[in-house]
Amino acid sequence: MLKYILKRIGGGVVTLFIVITLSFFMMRLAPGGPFSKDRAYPPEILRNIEAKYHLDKPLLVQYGIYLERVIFHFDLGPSTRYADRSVNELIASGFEYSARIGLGALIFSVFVGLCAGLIAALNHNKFLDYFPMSISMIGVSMPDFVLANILMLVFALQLGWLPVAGIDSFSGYILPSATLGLIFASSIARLTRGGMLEILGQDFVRTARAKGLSQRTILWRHTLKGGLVPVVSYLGPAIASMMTGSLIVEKVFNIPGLGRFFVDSATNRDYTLAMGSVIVFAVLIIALNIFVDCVYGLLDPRVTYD
Amino acid sequence: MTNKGNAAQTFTSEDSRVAARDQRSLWHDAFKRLVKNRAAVVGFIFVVSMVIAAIVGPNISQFSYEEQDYSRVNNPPFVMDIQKFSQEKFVDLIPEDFVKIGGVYFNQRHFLGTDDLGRDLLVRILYGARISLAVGFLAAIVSLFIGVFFGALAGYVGGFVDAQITRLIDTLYALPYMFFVILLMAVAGRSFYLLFIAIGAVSWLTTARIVRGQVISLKNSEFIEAARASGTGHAGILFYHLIPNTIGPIIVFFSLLIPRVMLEEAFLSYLGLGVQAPMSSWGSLVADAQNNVTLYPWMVIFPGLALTLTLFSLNFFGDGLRDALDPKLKGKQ
Repeated sequence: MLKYILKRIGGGVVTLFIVITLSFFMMRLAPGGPFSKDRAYPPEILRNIEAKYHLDKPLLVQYGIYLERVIFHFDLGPSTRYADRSVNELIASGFEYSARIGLGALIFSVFVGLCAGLIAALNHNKFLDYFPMSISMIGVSMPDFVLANILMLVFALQLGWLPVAGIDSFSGYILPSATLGLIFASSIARLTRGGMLEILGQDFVRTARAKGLSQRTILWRHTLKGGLVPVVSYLGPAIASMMTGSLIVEKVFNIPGLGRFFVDSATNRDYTLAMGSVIVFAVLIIALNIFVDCVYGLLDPRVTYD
Repeated sequence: MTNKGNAAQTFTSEDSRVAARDQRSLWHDAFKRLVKNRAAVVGFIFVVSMVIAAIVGPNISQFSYEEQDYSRVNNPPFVMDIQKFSQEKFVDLIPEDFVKIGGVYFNQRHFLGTDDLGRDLLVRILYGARISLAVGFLAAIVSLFIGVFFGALAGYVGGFVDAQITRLIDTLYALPYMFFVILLMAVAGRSFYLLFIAIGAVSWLTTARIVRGQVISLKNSEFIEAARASGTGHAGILFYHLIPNTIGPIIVFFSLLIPRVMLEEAFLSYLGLGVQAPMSSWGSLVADAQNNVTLYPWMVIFPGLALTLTLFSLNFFGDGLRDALDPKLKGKQ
């Protein structure tokens, strides 16, 4: 097990290195730079600024400087767009909001998805199966920005229960988290249903029934763990997509989170900020995937690590 | 002895009688099952009508997708009270444009209303359908070709090549690729072609895995041996014998890939990284109207609805196709 975890972490570091290298050169090889604006600086000032950010050195040297700073000092460098603010500061400020929305969405989606999936599986081919599954099909097909707008128009504008945008209070987090959560709840519900139906049809469940165990014991003790294996393996990539999804939700609800930085910085050629965002997202995604794969083995004893 | 022989004979004659009565191939069977699936049929009809509307609609409409009309800015598709609407939403409506049906004034000039530059929303949605559907199909085809190529190569050649390709696929799977696409679109300019190449280039991984698995399981079977014995070359075996046999799972995957790709295109366009104005796609139409959604919600709702219904139909059709081609899977996913 320990060997497996170490191996996965090693693989994760390699992936992260590829991410950093690819995005570094992809950004640099594109035309334009952070200081090529409509109103050009005089050449001597431009030279000074570029020297400050090491932009005057050869590309490979810049790459070396960047890697050294990131790896040994965890320093993502100064932002070229927001003068005198470091990328670490900017990302920390945005991450706070994104993390809260992401966490809310995760809790929401797992709770709603599991409940809906279990209800559907236990009422196989009845109304309580078809109804939640039809709704989940809408959830799978509906883009997050459409759902976000619909929820906003209904709950904030028509009913006036929740704020339209902004996150000054707790209630401001409900709509963004619910939007993001509902999309993933649909997939979780479908996977839960599929996994549970498969387990419930197996011989040992029939034995348990024949033994006279109650439905509740069968559900909690014998089947839930096995039935949820597909859900757990889905959660790793899902959490990653929740982060990309948060780009959208942050835009709709006007939240100053990580997502907005990422798109804006890439468009403005703010090299360090864009790179920093990619690195933070990549670290999160890689770490979560490793974590989920480790949990996977705890749930399903048939999975062996080697 | 005789009994046994008799039984065998009855069985064969019975069998041939069945065969003579009704020739049923895999495809015929699958088609029958598909037609029985009402949701899949409705989904298919909806998608086909959407494609036809996207091709024909913008040409027969009296408005063009970029024609601006400053006397009819932000006009709604329907309104309860023209006077009140004008005051509340800061819009001057021309009463002749509206026809009263059952207490509601419907816009008879622009059926779905107009946007902030007075452009006809219906035509813009249909024009956006062209872009969204084209990107969906083209990007899915791009990814299909890349995926089939690498998957078939890895599966057929095996050994070192297989190990390297599999490793490449595994590495790429671990990358947060959507961030790369965003980065690529942001730094390399926002062209229509780049859009589907970028999306297609990152969605081939699963296709490659499916094809590789199929090819590996088939390449040692008797009919491949026979082909080889009769002197068919590697290319012939690959293209005439192996790839056609992977077509079932590929069709299913392809039909479910299209809505996924369309969703990604909408996502990029919504972030402002897809097609640029005055062209429109469903994602960019929603994004453009986003800032005033509280005042003029129809500009967000109609393109959003078009996108959702199309994805919904494509998913239903894809699901139906999967159930039809592989009945064992039914209800599992």
